[in-house]
Amino acid sequence: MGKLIIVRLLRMFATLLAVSAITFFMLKLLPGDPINQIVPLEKLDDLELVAEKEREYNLHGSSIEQYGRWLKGALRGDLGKAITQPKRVSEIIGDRWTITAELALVSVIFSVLLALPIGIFSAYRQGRTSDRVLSAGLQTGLSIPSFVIGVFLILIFAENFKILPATGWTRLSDSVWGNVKGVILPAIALSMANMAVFARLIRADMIATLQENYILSAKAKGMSDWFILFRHALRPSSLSVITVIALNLGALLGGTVVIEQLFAIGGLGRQLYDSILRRDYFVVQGITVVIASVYVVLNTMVDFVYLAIDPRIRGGRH
Amino acid sequence: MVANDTTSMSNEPLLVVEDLKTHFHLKAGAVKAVDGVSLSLDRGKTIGIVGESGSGKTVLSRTIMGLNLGSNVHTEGSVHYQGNEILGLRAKQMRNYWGREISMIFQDPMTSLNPVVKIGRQVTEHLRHHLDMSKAEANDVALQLLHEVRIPEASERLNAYPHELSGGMRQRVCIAIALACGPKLLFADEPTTALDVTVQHQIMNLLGREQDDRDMAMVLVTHDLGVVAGRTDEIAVMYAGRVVERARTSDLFANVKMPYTEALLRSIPRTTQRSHTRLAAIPGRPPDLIHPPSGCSFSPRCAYAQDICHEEMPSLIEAGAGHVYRCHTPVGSNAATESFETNLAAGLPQAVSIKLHADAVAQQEGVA
Ligand SMILES: Nc1ncnc2c1ncn2[C@@H]1O[C@H](COP(=O)(O)OP(=O)(O)OP(=O)(O)O)[C@@H](O)[C@H]1O
Ligand code: SF4
Ligand SMILES: [Mg+2]
Repeated sequence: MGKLIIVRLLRMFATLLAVSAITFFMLKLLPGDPINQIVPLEKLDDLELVAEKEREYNLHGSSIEQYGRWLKGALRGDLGKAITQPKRVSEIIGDRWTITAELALVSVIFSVLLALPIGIFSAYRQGRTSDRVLSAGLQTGLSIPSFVIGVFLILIFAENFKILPATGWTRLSDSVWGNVKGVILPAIALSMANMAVFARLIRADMIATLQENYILSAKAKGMSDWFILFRHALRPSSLSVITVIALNLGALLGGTVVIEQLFAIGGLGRQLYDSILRRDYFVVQGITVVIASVYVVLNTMVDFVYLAIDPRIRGGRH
Repeated sequence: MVANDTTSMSNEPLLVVEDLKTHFHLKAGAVKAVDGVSLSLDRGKTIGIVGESGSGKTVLSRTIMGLNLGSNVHTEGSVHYQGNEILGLRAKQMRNYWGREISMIFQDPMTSLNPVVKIGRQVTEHLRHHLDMSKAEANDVALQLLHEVRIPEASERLNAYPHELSGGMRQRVCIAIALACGPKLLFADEPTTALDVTVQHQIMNLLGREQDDRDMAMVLVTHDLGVVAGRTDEIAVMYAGRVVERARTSDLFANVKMPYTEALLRSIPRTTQRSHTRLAAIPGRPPDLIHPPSGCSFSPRCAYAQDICHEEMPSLIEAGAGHVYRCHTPVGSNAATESFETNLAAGLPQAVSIKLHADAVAQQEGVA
């Protein structure tokens, strides 16, 4: 068991290293030299200035050397300098990531809270009218893009009832209530598609679990349906949904771009989008690496959750 | 409270099943998995239900217990438990019986325990649910039960997961679970089929002992007549969803009437036989339950079959006290001998195979 955890952790660090290298060198492959963004066109002849700027932005020496230096910095939490604003990349990310993380987290919580009862109930009533209606609803939820839902939510709750703000973001440190009000609509907009995916997964796994012999044994013991669903069937039916939840959380960090745009929220996604438009090479690099790393770390955490849920994976006798 | 019906007389059978039918409606037609079964079982007694795979043993026991899953199922007939009709009760009402009055042990102990729930909870949850025990009380009872079913290191086992136990141990756990609330009727659906031969005997002996101690009635389902031989009071032989012969165990072995029972008997491995003696598998396949053969359902495989067998379904005939069978020409009758000779002369495979088997056994006994 302990050995298993160490192996997974080592594998995680190896993956992180690979991810950072891939991101670093992929961006290197893009056409155009970042120095053109840094040094104004008319001064590109000033070789001394160019050399100085190259050192400042870690553009000197071979690509491998650059990666080595960048990695060393990254391990200390420094991802280099931004080009289009006088800040370090890590500062910019530090500024923005809490917003996106909160948005992603809240939306995933919304989707799980909705998906669990829907999925379990549909599985329980498999094939009956209530299941068919719910399944059709999920299919619809899945096929509406998040920004369409966002637009509707704004129209209804911001324009019509005027109970929630249409745009903008209040930081938690500024006003708890303001923060809560600001996160609700974008989080709901983001959560619908995921909710449908989660609910369908839970339903499918639950239906499979309910066919198991041990469910029949529990029934033959006279346990109630409610007890069987929640205390016998739910845990073995949750492995795949947990994977997908964690992966979605990772994907949401990069995938909130459209919603952040629609609700004018300055999170990581919006920053990434802006930086791509402005060709701020180092910010793009930094954000990409951070998002990819979160993804990898979440994936490893999923493995650990598996260990906690299914004793068989822990392997061997005590 | 349904559990104790004071109006019923104590000498009345615990379980009475009358003309029970369970049909599954499929697109291709109705699968007549159980088609008119009647039996009765007294308190503390054991009935063996024997038949080949697909003969409807599992469906019969689940129907009696009200555990039929699926919406395409249609049941008819009646099941009286302690004088009360329980067929057709809703799950909500059946929960008063399940686990506490009637319980079941399933064929495969590998899959009938929840792999992610500790043994302790699986042995105690229904105790707490039915008998309102506290966690500590239920734990004490569970320990007692595990001792009773001879599980070593019982207190550690309570904290183990099913995959940490061997198949035999798991089946002991399942028995402990089934016995926990002190049921009066236990269904054991091939409780040893999935286990090693050496373990099979231990488990069967354990079941027999528990049954005596608790004065509990048992329906023992198996495809092996050898298993039920010394352990049952009565045997019902099933074929194609029907009971084709039923008798007290000793009567059945002494006086087989139905050719199918005889064929099953031939397929029991006899300890006196040398290991290389082949078992006589019954030639042919179990019948299609959607379109069963006309006449006697065993006729396509029967070595004694004659014209009437293919035309007329034999009714239940009484051979003696409590001994009934369905056959036009029962084993041992002159008519049976005649039709066997005719079939043998015509080269009917099932007749030939019986002859070969008889010759082989005779030869071996001569050598020994
Ligand atoms: N849900 C169902 N739908 C359709 N047919 C079914 C269903 N359940 C069982 N059957 C059919 O009913 C017949 C009897 O099955 P059953 O499981 O009772 O046999 P069995 O005697 O217990 O056999 P085995 O020794 O293999 O356990 C089989 O032909 C089976 O295919
Ligand atoms: S002799 Fe005829 S009735 Fe009797 S079992 Fe054979 S086929 Fe059926
Ligand atoms: Mg069966």
